[in-house]
Amino acid sequence: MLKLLRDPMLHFFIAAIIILTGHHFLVGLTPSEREKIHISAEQVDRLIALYTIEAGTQPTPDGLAAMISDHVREQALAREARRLGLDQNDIVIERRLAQKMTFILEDSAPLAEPDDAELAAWFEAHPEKFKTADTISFDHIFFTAADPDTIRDIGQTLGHGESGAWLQTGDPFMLQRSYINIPVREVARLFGTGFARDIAPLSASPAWTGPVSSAFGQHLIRVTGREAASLPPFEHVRTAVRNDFIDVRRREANVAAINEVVASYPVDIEGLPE
Amino acid sequence: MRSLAFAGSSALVLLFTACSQPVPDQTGTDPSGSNNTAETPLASIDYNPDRNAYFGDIHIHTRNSFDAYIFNVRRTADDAYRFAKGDKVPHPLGFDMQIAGGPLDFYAVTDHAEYLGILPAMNTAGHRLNALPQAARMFSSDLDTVREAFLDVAGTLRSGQRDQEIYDQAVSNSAWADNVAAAEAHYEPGRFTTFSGYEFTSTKPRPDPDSFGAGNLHRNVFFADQAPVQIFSALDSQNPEDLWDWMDGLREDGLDAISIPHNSNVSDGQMFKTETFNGMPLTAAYADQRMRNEPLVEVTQVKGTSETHPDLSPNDEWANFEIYDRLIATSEKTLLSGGFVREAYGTGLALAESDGFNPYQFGLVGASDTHVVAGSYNEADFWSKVGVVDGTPELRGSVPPDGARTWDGFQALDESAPSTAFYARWSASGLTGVWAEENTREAIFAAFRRKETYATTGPRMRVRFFAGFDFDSAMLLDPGLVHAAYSSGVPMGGQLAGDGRVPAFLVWAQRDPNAAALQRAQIIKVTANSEQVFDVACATGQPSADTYRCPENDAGVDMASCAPTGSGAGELKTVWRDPTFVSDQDAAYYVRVLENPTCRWSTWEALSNGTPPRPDTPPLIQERAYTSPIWYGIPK
Repeated sequence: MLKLLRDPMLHFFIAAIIILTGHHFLVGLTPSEREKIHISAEQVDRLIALYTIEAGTQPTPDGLAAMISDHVREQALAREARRLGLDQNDIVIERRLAQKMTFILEDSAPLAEPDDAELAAWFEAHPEKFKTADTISFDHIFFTAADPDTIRDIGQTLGHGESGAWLQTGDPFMLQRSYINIPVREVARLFGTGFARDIAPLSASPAWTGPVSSAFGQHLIRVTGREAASLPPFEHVRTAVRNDFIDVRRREANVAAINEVVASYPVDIEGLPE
Repeated sequence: MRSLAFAGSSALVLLFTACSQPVPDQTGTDPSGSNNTAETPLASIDYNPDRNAYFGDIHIHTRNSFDAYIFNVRRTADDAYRFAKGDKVPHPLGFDMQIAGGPLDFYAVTDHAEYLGILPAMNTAGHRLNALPQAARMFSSDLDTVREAFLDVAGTLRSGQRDQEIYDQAVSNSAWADNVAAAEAHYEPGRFTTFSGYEFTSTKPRPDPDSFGAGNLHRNVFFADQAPVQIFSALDSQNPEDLWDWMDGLREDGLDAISIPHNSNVSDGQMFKTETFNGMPLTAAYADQRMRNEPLVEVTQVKGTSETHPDLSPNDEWANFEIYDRLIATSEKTLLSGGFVREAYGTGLALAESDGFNPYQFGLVGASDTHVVAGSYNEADFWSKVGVVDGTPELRGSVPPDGARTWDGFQALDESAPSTAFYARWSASGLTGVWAEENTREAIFAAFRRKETYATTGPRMRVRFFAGFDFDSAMLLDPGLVHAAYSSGVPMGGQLAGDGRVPAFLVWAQRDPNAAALQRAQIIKVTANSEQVFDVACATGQPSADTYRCPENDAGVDMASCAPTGSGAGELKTVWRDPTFVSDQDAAYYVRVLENPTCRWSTWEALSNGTPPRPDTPPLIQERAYTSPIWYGIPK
């Protein structure tokens, strides 16, 4: 049975049958007398065709022979195993069935659309979920291959001035030279995590600091502003609140559906330590 | 939302319709007193007339695809968009999937149009389709019966003949409306773009009745904004030209759309051949219609590379990359010629020369083709494509079976094991990059039309590519470089009209800061009867003037940890002139950017498992980007 479970093709058959028919799979099978294992030409064709659909490749003649003989062997062994009752009390099979039953239960109950009062209450109860991110605003000048002292000197020469000279300084950069209110995690996505970490402690100042290294090269940095995370008004995030509410309710409904099945079984546990 | 007016009344439609309406102004509760009608999208703060790179995946399947539902996929289009925005979404095997590298900028669900939503309906108690004998067979407790029922449905995709009993236009229209509604609900102009789209799943069977082989002619269809109520599928016609007729008709009614072919690599030479679907000679009208409807081709995805093949490009040392060459659902090898984009560029130029039209002047995109709603782009965190059949390392063959610690004597490395034939060869790819002014449907769809797009095999490298006659290397130091290039040249996807002067090409590639450094940038030149690969910028040193190759850099990988070693480039930038330029010879030039070597997904999984990488797959790959070409020619 372990081998059967590991075979991808049969894995699919079993998965499909168990998923689609649930526990009827076991209920519907009675220990058989040793019926003939008949493999018709049509079945072989189907075996090839289904295999090719799942595997994307047609079996070689040797491979087909092996598949058929595997199939017969597995049929025989599986039938024999069932005849002997080996499918009972097999933890691997039982876990698998439980997993499949979980899939069937999930998302089976429709959820009512929440009204505004429910959403507003949800928003007030979970402000942390709807806060904006910490953001930073900064200008930077990019250098592909200058030495750090030269870059530092350039920064000092530029000084604090409001002139646009800095826009003509350094090498061309493929992204922006200025960022306004960009989330700090977005800085990591655009420039790399090291750069994001290195500019995190810089405070707003008209002076250029650096060089700071990124995945691309060296940068002079001028932080122009920071905003700490804040909570926007409910109306601005109503969709996010609604999505979160539905998501949580759906998860809860899934747990409840499983619990309902569990609760429908009398459970008797002996031998628990006091 | 026009389509929704006709879309039936499923609960999901109502739900999404409701939440996409503007919420009434409630400024009374807003201390700032602004008259902000909540959720009105912000103007794009990153609007850039010289265009930004945005990244997306536009090839996604959900439970509404028959071949996803059967593999236990239960997630919806809503889940797909949530994944793209950064949320965790469960895989059919229970683990969470989360996108590598942060949220994407755009995403499009493209379920198979054929039997769209039918399997879920057949499996819903109380639904009319659930009462059909086919539903009982499909969900029977008898193995052979399930097999037969599934094959009956799958087989009709080869024949193009509908299974009339389960075919239910109303059900499919309703599922389509659900997908359209999810795209509408998740579209946030300026922040996140969605497109309504679907897959037209057409094939062309080999004439030999004993053959299972069929050329893959699949296309994804995308609507610029509004979507029609009913879509045109391969069960309406297998002929892509009929699809284009339908799209032309929609366009006359004001609904613009494009279709993007994929997996030409397994089209059996059908995708870019020199005759029509029915075997007639190509005409100027055919070329016009094809280019009007199919400006782009998907060149990389989970089922391999469609750029070129080592047998077609024997002088390209990097052509043997994530090759998959078996016709879908068979072990028959696809015909190579007619199936790869590099060769097609040459075919198009030859047709232009001989007949005066070019049906193959298309740009390039990349996508995943995931069937579990979530694209798997990161070699270090791969979950493959299908669901319950390839969702673990053992199922996809990256670790030895049955807990073995080595591959010694593992017989299944022969072709009869699905993992060997199929899953182990799949690829953690890919994404589309577009250059657009802002992240909106209008701007991104316009970029699709301009072909100002490129494909990557997963990493988010940024690649600029321009051609002009006045470019020189001094411009590389100009902070206004890109503006100057747009002003005096054409970007990727464009056509440069020759006038006797030698064109120059500006190539500028920037690494993904969260992926490997770059190794080299190349320009690939294609003419009516030749192709050539030029290294144009190197992480270390300069390309040789004789061999057009970079010196080898010292990049490698520590196989004990998959950590990169050696050095690479943060960016590569050059102005290049073609040393083989002939002024009256038309040519297509595109850029290929290569990263330093990194571990392939199968190696990462072997490493986690403490076993050696499987011996029949390469342990390392070089991730890459392919840009749309720039075509050069002297106007006739």
